[in-house]
Amino acid sequence: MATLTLDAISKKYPNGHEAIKHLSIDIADGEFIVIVGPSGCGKSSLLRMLAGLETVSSGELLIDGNRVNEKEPAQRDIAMVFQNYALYPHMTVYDNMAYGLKNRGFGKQEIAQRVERTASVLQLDHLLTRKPRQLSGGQRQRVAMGRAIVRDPKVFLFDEPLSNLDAKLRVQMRIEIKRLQRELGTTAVYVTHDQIEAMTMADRLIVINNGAAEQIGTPMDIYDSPQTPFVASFIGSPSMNFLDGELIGDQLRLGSESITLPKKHEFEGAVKVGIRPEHLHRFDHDQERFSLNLNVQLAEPLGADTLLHGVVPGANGADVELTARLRGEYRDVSDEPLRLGLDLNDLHLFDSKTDQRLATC
Amino acid sequence: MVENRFWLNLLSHLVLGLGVLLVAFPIWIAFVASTHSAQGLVSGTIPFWPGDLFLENFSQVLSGGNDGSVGVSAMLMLFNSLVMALGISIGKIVISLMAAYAIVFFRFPLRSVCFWIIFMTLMLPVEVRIMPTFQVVANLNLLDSYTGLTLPLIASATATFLLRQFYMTIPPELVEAARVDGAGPVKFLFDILLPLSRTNLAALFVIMFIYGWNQYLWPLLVTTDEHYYTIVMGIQRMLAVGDDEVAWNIVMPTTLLAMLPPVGVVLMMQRLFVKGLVETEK
Ligand SMILES: Nc1ncnc2c1ncn2[C@@H]1O[C@H](COP(=O)(O)OP(=O)(O)OP(=O)(O)O)[C@@H](O)[C@H]1O
Ligand SMILES: [Mg+2]
Repeated sequence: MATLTLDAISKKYPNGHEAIKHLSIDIADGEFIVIVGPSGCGKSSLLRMLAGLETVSSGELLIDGNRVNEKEPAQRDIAMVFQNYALYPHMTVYDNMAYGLKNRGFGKQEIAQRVERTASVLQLDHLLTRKPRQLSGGQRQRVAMGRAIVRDPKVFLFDEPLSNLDAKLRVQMRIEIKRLQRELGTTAVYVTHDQIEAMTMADRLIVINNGAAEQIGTPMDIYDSPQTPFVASFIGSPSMNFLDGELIGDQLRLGSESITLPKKHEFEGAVKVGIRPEHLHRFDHDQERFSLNLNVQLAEPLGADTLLHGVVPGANGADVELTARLRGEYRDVSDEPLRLGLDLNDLHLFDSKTDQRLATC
Repeated sequence: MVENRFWLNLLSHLVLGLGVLLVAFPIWIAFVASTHSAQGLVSGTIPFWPGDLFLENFSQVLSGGNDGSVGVSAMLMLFNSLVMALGISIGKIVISLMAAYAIVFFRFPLRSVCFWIIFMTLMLPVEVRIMPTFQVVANLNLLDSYTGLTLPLIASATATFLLRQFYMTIPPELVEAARVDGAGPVKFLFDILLPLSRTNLAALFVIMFIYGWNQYLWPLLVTTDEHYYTIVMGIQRMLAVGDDEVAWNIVMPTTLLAMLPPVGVVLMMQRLFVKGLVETEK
């Protein structure tokens, strides 16, 4: 159990590529941190620096208040679960789990006790004598977990550990990992590009774009008030729609319409207006004054909901693509555009120039 | 298709049988020749069926006390060959294992230069560099010694290259997992890399053993004392008798004996290959 402090961590690869730029965060003891971002944004680079597999170019890395920048992975007392599990193919499940303990000089008896306890937690008891190749993907994943847990490290590091599993198993393992981490109370850093994993598992999320942390916060924080259009479109599925608008006082001009906003902003000028698909609903004449006319091009029934893809007329006549998520089934066959309404409190406004969320006052 | 099966089977078995016959026939002749007397063999026609002198010929060969031999027993020559072949194959494997380990898993200055220098020596077999090598060995007073027989042949670019190719297929995550698990370079080599390369090493051992066993030119150059003769050059000596009759009844048993150890090694290692193939994983 440990705290983890990243103080302006940067990673510059020998070829000059800056994979991580001045990232800082204080991670509390027992916290579950999820790092998300698009492919190539530097998630693995960051995690590998925490593990000690990659050198830290600048900044300071502290575990429990002690600087570990120069320490070997084995001396940092961390455990890592790799995407492709990286089990030792020639060792049995038992030996895979015991290897780290052996190298740390634990006695035979202590090792056996620990491995057996971990195996029973992960339901691997009956597989201890098998080799990795005799296991299913899910079982291998569990062994990789076991190898991390059995050492009782200060920090767990996960690099997309579930991406090789099928959808159902992924959900199951996701819950199991979260439950185990809670029970053990071990600090964990988890890399994924699956935003459902990110939302459901994290105590706090770090959204990385191009090597820089765009936003750090609880999942609901980030969902409710994303700081940039990038974060807004990355978290939430399907991703947020953006329309160009202009803010003058409390009037928002959107295409040909002018809307009176419920909240005031200290800003005037061009804005990006973000609308989450799930916040759109069928227009209700009695309660609402603002509507969007969606020319539906494609309807995707998901069962409980239906995704509608289409275009709405934007500023100066150009069409803008928009996705809406409506409750229930969609059976409208008329050629008429569909009128969609939304609660104006659910609008997200970003400054078009700086890409920053507008503060309300 | 199905109706053709029978003829197809017959044909392929015929071809196979013919192949076996072609390969096995000279060995049969060698065996037959080792059971006849010297006179019976030089009479012009080679007999097709074994004679009755099998034990006699073989005991003569093994003890070395006869006019056709080179003065030492085949036992000693077999032993010399074994020392040379084992020395070469084990030495080659140990050295190339470590060279490949360094080249693949460690970052040091001039790493790729080292690799390319090793790789270039692939193009220089013993025969090409035999004069300078002989000079070096002679200056070191290593003529007529086991060290002189084995040492110059131990460095192996081929084995280094093959092992390097194999090491490069090992996923980097495995190396990293071992690092996180607290395995240093030595532990990683012995606990993970060696067990994983077992099949490759077995294959290399077979190839290198036969290479060492069949060395001919090099032992011929560095040994003048017959106590260091290897079996292959011993056979050559037996044939180089000038105007005398070649004692085929001695040469043939020696040849058969010379064949046995390589066959033994192949059979022994074959079990490892099969096991290794079955256990291979990705
Ligand atoms: N050893 C290296 N040398 C130079 N550049 C590298 C090296 N490793 C990674 N990079 C670059 O750094 C950037 C970040 O890589 P990283 O592996 O951290 O991405 P990632 O966020 O984990 O992506 P993914 O989701 O695809 O795994 C990429 O642009 C990559 O090309
Ligand atoms: Mg990655």
